[in-house]
Amino acid sequence: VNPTAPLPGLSAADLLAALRATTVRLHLDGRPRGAWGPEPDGPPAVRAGAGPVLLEAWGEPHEAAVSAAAAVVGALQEHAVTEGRLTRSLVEAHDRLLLLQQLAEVPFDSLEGQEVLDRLVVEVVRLTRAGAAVLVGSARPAVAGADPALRDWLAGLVTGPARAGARFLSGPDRTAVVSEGIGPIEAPVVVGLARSGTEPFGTADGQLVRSIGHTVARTLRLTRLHREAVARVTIERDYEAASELARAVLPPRRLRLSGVELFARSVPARSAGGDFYTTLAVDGTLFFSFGDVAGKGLTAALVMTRVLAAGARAFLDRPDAGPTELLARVDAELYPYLSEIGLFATMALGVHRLGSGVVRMCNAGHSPTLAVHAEGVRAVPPSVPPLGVLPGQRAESEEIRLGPGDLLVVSSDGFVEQEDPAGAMFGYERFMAAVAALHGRSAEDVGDRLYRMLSAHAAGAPMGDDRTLLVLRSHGEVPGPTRSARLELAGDLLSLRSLGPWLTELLAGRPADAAARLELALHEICVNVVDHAYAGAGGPIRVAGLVDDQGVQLWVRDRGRPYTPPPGPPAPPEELQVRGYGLAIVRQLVDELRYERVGDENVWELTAGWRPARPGEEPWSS
Amino acid sequence: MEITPRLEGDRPALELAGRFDAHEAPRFRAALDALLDRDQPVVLVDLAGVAFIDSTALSELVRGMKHSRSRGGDLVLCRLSAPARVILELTGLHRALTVEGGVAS
Repeated sequence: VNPTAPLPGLSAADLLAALRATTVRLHLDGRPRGAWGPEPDGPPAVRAGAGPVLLEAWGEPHEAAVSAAAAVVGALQEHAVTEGRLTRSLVEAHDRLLLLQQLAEVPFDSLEGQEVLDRLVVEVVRLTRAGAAVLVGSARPAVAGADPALRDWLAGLVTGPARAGARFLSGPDRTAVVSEGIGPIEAPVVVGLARSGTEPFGTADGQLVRSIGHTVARTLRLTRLHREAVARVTIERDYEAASELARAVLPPRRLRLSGVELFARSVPARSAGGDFYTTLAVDGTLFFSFGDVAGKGLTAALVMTRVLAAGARAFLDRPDAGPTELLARVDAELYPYLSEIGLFATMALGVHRLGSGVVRMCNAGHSPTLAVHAEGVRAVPPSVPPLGVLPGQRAESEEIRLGPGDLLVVSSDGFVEQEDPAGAMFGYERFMAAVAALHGRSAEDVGDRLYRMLSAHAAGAPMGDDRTLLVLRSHGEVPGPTRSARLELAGDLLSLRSLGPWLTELLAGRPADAAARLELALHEICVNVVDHAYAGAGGPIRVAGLVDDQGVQLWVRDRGRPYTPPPGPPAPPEELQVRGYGLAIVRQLVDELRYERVGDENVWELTAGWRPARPGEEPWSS
Repeated sequence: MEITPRLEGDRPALELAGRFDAHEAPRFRAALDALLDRDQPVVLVDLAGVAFIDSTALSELVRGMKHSRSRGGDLVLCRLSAPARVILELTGLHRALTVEGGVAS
């Protein structure tokens, strides 16, 4: 109320005139707040007002006008008080909002729930200027504040059962507000603030702790979701890498060796499961191993490569060893490793002397392994548990005689356990029946049909596990003499001159062009070894050959650098590359050329069947 | 491998006999380069006596051909033995190299 203008737009003279008074005085809450006109004599003629307002008038005032004026002043007064309260609330609300915003923007170096709480509680103390604060999430309470006694007191307050709403508490020379049960999705977040002194926390502080609780709960939830997303991506990458690894080390193989056909293929599931197989043929003996490392993802895939290499190495070191000894060597190498990392691996392995019609094999915990004869299917049961379960196992060797058309089928459990959309497994019985019906077909045909059958069963249901299959089909015992020979070269260019005479002797009595054709092929492989694998420094090259009525197989092994194929497709002859004709020539001289890196050895395998010479090859016989 | 230089008309020729392989390639290169350095851009290589020829030897022929063509001449293969013809056909190089005189009897 303005002394010169008691009411908006009204001067003192106007007021006195309007009230017909000589003097007017205003009191608010018993205190004088305004006086207009000269010092009066005696008591006022009229007093009016209600509540805090008292208006006095001297002279001959108009009583109703004075009452009306008092009512107007009262209304204005009330308005002013309300406005002040609103302004204070607005400031407080704004402060709270700012505080929560700052709390939500606290940066984190870590995604661990506990570290997030620890970091946030420090910020709560700083932003609220409370003496101490406590946050309780799913882990241990996070407490902050300079005064240890106040901190401990506050921490003790929030151990009670969670409940909705805020509690206001006081102790000796300290007060607190605690809000509980925040967070509808997460474990409830409890927030407490405490300060020294006797001033209690107010209603606004109750709202504040609840808001802080929501903010903290949201932050915890975001960090958890982020953590989960990161973990998911990691697993995804891990599985992808595992699948790539499996694809890289398990190339599909189709092979027609003397008296035997081989089909092997692995289709890794999205979450590759550690299936493996190896097929190697050295000096007239075919070796295969097949199995499954327990577990999934990169770990299983990495263990798988090691198991695979151990089998191959055992065989390459002792190509004439029996399966019991080979498995014992693998077991001796792998058991300490597998038991240390707590994994185990099933493994079936076998050897087959080409042309003999007999497979000798050992089975450590792997199924299904099926021998398929015209009379029916027989499972080859494991004689010992998987590798890594018990040390020093000695598996029994099983001799399987395979007549013409007979099959040996080894599959991963991903094959028999594949479910259809309704959840029904393909199953052992169906698998055995399917395999029995395929007797007599070629290995490749059997393999393709089994894969197709499985896809039909799955009918779009997701692939549960790797699908891996090895089919060996025998032509039975190959009649006629089988001749084999070995040759060791020093690994310089001049030493390659002995390839010709060696081949001529091995191939005596065979088609006349063969020796010249295969000498060039072997020679090119060996030049490659001398120039690239050994980089001109020399080193042993072991050559072996096997000849029977169907054809010839040759192996070249060295311990030089791994072969890396040149990038890109070969240049057309018009471009006249000075180098790089070697392997292209070999591929035209033999039916099949394979390269494999096994342990520290390069193994080249050349296969050629006896057949009439093609027109372009006739000059060989001249 | 025997390497015998001779003249065929007015063109210098190298007559090869025996085994033309990676081990012999450096000697062939030296003999060929000696001719090219004497400003004889057109050189004949007689392969009638070659009983074995490998991809390294083939590379030497291609290199020699590029070298002589860069000097305005050529490397001309003549009287191919059966192994020489086969390896040229396997690689498709018989279409890129100059071959005259057909196959040796």
